[in-house]
Amino acid sequence: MSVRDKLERLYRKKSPKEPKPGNHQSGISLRGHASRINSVVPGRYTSTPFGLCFSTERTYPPGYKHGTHHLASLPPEIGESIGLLTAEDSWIGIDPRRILFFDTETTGLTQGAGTCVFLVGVGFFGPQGFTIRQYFLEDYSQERAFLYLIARELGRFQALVTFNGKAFDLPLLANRFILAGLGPPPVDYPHCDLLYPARRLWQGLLPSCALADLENHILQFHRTGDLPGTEIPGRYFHYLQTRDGHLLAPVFDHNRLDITSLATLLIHLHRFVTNPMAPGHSPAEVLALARLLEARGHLHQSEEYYRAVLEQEPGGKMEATAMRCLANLLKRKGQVKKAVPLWEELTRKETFSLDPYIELAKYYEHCTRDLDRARDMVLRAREVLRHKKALGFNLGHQPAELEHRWQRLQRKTAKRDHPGVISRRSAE
Amino acid sequence: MNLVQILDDFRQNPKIQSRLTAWRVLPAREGNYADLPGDLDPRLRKALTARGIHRLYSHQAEAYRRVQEGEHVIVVTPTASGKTLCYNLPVLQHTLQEESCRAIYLFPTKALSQDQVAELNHLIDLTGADIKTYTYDGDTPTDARKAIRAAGHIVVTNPDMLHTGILPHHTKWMKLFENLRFVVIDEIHQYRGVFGSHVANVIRRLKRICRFYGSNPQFLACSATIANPGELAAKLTGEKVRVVDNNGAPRGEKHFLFYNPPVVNHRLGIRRSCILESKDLAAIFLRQGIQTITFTRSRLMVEVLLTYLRKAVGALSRIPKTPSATVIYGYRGGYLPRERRRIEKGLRTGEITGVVSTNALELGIDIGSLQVAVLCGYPGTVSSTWQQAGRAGRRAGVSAAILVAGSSPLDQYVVTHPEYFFGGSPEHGLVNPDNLYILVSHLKCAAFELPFQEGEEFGVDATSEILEFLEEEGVLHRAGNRWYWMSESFPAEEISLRSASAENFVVIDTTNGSRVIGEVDRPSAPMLVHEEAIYIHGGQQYQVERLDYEEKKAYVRQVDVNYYTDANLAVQIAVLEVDESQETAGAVKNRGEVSVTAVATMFKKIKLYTHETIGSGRIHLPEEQMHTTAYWLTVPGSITTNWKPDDLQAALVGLATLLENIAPLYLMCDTRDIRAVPQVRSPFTGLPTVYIYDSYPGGIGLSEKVYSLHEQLLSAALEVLENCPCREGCPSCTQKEIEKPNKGLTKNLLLALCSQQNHQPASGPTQGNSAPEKTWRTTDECQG
Repeated sequence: MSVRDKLERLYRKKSPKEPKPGNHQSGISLRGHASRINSVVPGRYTSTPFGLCFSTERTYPPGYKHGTHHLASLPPEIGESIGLLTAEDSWIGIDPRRILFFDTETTGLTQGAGTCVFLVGVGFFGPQGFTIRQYFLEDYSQERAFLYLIARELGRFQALVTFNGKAFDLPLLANRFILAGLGPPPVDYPHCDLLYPARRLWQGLLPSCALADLENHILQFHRTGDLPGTEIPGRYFHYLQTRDGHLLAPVFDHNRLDITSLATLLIHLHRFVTNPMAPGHSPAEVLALARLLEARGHLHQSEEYYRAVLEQEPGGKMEATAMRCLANLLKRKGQVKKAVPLWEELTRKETFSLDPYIELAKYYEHCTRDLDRARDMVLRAREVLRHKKALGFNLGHQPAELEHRWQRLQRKTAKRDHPGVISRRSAE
Repeated sequence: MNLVQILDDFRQNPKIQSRLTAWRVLPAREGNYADLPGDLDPRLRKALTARGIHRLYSHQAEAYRRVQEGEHVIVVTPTASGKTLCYNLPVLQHTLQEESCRAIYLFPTKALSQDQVAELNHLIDLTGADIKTYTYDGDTPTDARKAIRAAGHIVVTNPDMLHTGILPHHTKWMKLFENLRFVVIDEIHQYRGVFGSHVANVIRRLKRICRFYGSNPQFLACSATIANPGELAAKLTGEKVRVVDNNGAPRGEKHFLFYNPPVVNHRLGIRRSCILESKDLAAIFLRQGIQTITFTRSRLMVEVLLTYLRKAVGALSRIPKTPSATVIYGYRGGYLPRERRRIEKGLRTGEITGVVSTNALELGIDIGSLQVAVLCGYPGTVSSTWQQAGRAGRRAGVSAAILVAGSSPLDQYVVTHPEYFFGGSPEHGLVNPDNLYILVSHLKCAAFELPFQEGEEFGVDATSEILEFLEEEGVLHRAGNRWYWMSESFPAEEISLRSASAENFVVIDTTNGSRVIGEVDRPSAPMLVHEEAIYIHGGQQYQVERLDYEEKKAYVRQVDVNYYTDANLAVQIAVLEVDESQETAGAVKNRGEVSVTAVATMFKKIKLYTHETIGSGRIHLPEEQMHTTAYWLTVPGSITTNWKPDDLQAALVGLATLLENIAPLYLMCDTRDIRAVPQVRSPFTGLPTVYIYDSYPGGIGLSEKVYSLHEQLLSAALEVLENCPCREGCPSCTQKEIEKPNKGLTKNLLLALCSQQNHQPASGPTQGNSAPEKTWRTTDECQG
């Protein structure tokens, strides 16, 4: 049996099916009617030392509206906003025109040397408005030309904004550069992946933090007739076999919308960060921002926003959380006395959090040395635990920790009440 | 009583004496030494001195010299002969001299690698140099991986991880591949059969990636004793490899006993169960607190024997707070890693007295020096047997290993022919890296990793033919003079190196909530976790309540019953193509390609201890089809004209059973790697036929070897039959289960098949004639 026959037998015997689209004959016959990419997508071929590469460009004039936002320009202080969100100082003072928005389309979602980047979209703001340029890999054999132009584009900018680019787009692009023998891609400047701040601000508030959900719920932009991302690799493979550019026009559109949303999302974040109290932002979002800022070390601003949430919606859903956060922040700033009324207020509310009782117990034990009040707090905390247990909560280490605290307070009280008696513990 | 006293007792005990077919004493032996190499880095010299190593064993010195001369090397010496240093020494020497030097260490199992890293790190610490060693496997935390990729000098991993975790992501390992100087392959004899054929292809891919980054590593391998270590290493690495086997390590006195359980039913020739005998023997040692390891051949038997032994010795199943009582554990694949580490540690510290294990502990995992190894059943190969026996008495001092024979013909052959075992290693490690099925799988992985250049060869001349085929299939895309991967999938994840299929079935205990307790590989799943099966894990019985075949999940619940289950596999076979056919003396032998359809049909409930069948049930699972290679023997009409169909059927079953059980002896394969099927009237030949096929898609060369061994196999079968003490046929010779008496019939058939041959009883499979009883010295030299 020839190798050929054995292959047929091993792989085709089970399901004798009609030739796949990959088959030579069908490829050739379709090729006759196929429309090349440049007859479907307006664009041009650029020559490089490694051959030609197709690209297309579109500029959105300053009046263009994407959802509720205008895509006119980035404000001069955009770098400060990004710096605030990412805690990376290198963003401060960045020229908004040197920021590149970046997104890729690939032949799969797995990281690995066999996943290929075939479409790269970049966006930037200029005097004429927002420009999107898309570079397209017409066939694998032109990869070096394709990467050459991408490297040139990356080299013209000073900062990068992506959505999930840190974990996905950039590592894949790096693979391609290495495989093509071109060394790592020239991105030695700040890179902000908006997925991370988006998660901090909206996780739990939205169905997910995928770009599509952010568009629908935050940017008020609703796609119609968009190609689902899962179909993209298949489209490209089919294109490779048929050379039918119509297959890919929707992929170009999809990529362009992603870039537009990316830029809009940044504008939205900037407006929100610089003026969170403006109408349109819910207390939950402001609270999330305050927590993000606190995590980044901007204590002053976060305190202001915690207080704003409390003022804005007395008795609202966010009140208890805001109170707890504010109290913790005050404690962190060394103003524990200011936090006490907040904790006391929290104990009057019917929440299941043990924090206020524990914090107050600590305060009375260590700051005011009022052991009786401290003991009272632990007893009340026990009551809450009992309640939680009855409702089937998983209590974890809480009972043990509480018991430990109780025992210590008991010992201290005993020592206070009977100063002559040496406890067993101190005798040791 | 200590071990020496117990052995004395054995000598005086006529009952035990009558059951022993061999008692060899391997005397303690002096070492053979050489000076530390003159060019050794002073830091390394200092580290060795600190470890008390002032000179090397002769084989270590030679290995070092050969590596320095640029040769690929395979070291073949027994367990505990300091093999590790044979590769650690040159690797550390080069890394000390050249900071950028990188090495990959491949171990067949994860557990083994953890152990070796500990030892290696100790040596590195003593050099005072900053050489970083990391284990990179499925257990490595994600955040540690980045550091390992960039900074690890020595990356310790296994072939599976190299296959799915490293090669497909080679761009992230640029630093490693650019500077890769050594590839160490420990326990290389493990890489044979299907697994080895896969690994050979993984190494082809590795070398391809190295070429891309401009490196050309040297291979350093270690092996247990097999007949063809150099050939195996050459096939696996695709390089010419120098064999170093002048063992210079000293050894403590070792007793090796062959024990054949007594015949309890002379009419049926049934011997007492080897499990019960092993239990009794192991218990003798365990009761005296002597650390004993008992090896069984299957996971199921680990659990059965564990239950028996704990009961017999009154042992605990957990390590107590204060060490007092005997503690016995089970150990096998399917236990979770943390559980395994705990057991290994317990054995080293002595907290655990006994362990019952599958061959999972056969490899060099450090469990300290146990004193006794009881082998419940012949492990299948000579080298495996030596490895398992070697787990007792790794260091100086008296140790003992007892092989308790089972009733299979293979076991009976070995136990009654000790010279076959002690006379050296006739076993060949067979791999077939060019098995089309395996080759194509790895060609896909290779294409994912790097596009194929026109004219590039991947192991075989027909590379471009296969690439063109894959292009037509729409898996690859040709652009310019290259083939590119064109699929969303990640091909390495779809291929398991260890079995035909990547997917394991998970076993979920639903007794309290739901908890994953183990895994079962796909080919075994229909047999082990069909509905109503008793699945045993950690000595606990579980009944399978539901098997979700699509989702590959078996839901089980704890039960306490007095039986276990055993499933039957029904097999149909159809010839697709005859590659070769030849008339021999009394029969026609053939080989070619076949289609095999297998389906699990029924199971039996077998009572514990008595092993009688107490019930049965049907299994409803889909059939699985496979194309593979086969050997078949057709019986000419002239022989069978006067036979009654019933008799012929019985004789063919007898012949198939014999051949299936004896052939692995010649092939160094697992008994499950081949299967024999008798057909009274084969639809293909129209004649009585016995098939032996490779139990792997596409075949791995086993049946081809059977074809060339046809005459020897028939002679050996006849001899097993003649030596068997039963009268009517038994599970040790012609019967899988007791049915129609068929011993005489099978013998007649065999005699007819061998009739024209100048029939001589064969004794050793590869040594055509009976070897004289070897002197003790020979054994010593072969196995050190």
